[in-house]
Amino acid sequence: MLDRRSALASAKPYTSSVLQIGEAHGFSLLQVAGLAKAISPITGKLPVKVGLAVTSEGRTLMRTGPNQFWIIGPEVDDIETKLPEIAIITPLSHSRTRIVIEGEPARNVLAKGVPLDFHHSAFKSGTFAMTGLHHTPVLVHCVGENRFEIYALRTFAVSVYEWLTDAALEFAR
Amino acid sequence: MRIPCPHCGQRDVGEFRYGGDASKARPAHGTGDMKAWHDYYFLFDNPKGPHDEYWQHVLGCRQWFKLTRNTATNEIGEQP
Repeated sequence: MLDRRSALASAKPYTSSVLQIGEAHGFSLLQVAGLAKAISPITGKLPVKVGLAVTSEGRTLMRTGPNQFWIIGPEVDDIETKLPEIAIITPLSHSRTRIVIEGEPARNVLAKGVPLDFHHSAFKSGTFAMTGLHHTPVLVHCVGENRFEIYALRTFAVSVYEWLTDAALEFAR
Repeated sequence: MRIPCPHCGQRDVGEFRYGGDASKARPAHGTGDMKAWHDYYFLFDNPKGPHDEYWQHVLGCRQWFKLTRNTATNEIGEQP
C-alpha cells in the first residue's frame, strides 16, 4: 500500500512539558447515511444520540446526525464493502487530518477558539461535537480526561494546527 | 445568542445559518402566476416579536429545522 502523505509534513513540531499537539496517523473514516437498525448488524450497536461515540470491534462509531454516522477504523478497513447495499457511504479517510491535543491546558486552549463548554462536567470523555474552530469546520472528540482528537479538513489542517500551537503559547512551560 | 439544535442541543449562533422566513408558503410547483412568485420571493413582513424561521446547523449536524425567534429580544421559543 502506498503511504499517505501527511498534510502536516511541513508543520513545525510542537513541544511543551505540559501539552502535546501532533498528528495521529493511521485511520480510515467512513460517513454512512442510513437507518441504525439496518447498519448496526454490521457495525455493532450505534450510539442513540448525536454527540456520543462508542467503540465496537476496534472501530469508533459516532452519530453525527439523526441518520448519519462516522465510522473510524484502522487504516485498512473492509467495512465499506459491506455497507453499500443498505446505506449511503462516503469515504472520507483522505479528506480529514486528525490532530491530537493532550495535556492539562488542552481544554483551555480549545476554549479559545471553539464555541463550546469545555468544562470537565460538560464535555466528557466519549463525547464529540461537530463545530467550528474560528468558523473552520472541525469535529472535536474527547477521548480522555484532557485528550482531544480534532478531525480537520485536510486543506485546513495546517491552519488548524498553527492556530492550536499559537493558542497554546501562553500555556507553554 | 444560542440556538437549540434539535439534535446537538444548545449551540452558539455562529454555528448556524439563517434560512429565511418559515411562515411563508411557497407557491405550488408549476404555478404560472408571476405575482404569486413575486410576492413569495420579494415581499416580507418585518414583525417585531415572534417570527418563524428556518435555520441550518451548518457547522454541526448540517440539519435544517424551524424555530420561533423574537426579533426584538432574540429569545428563542418553541419549535413550530
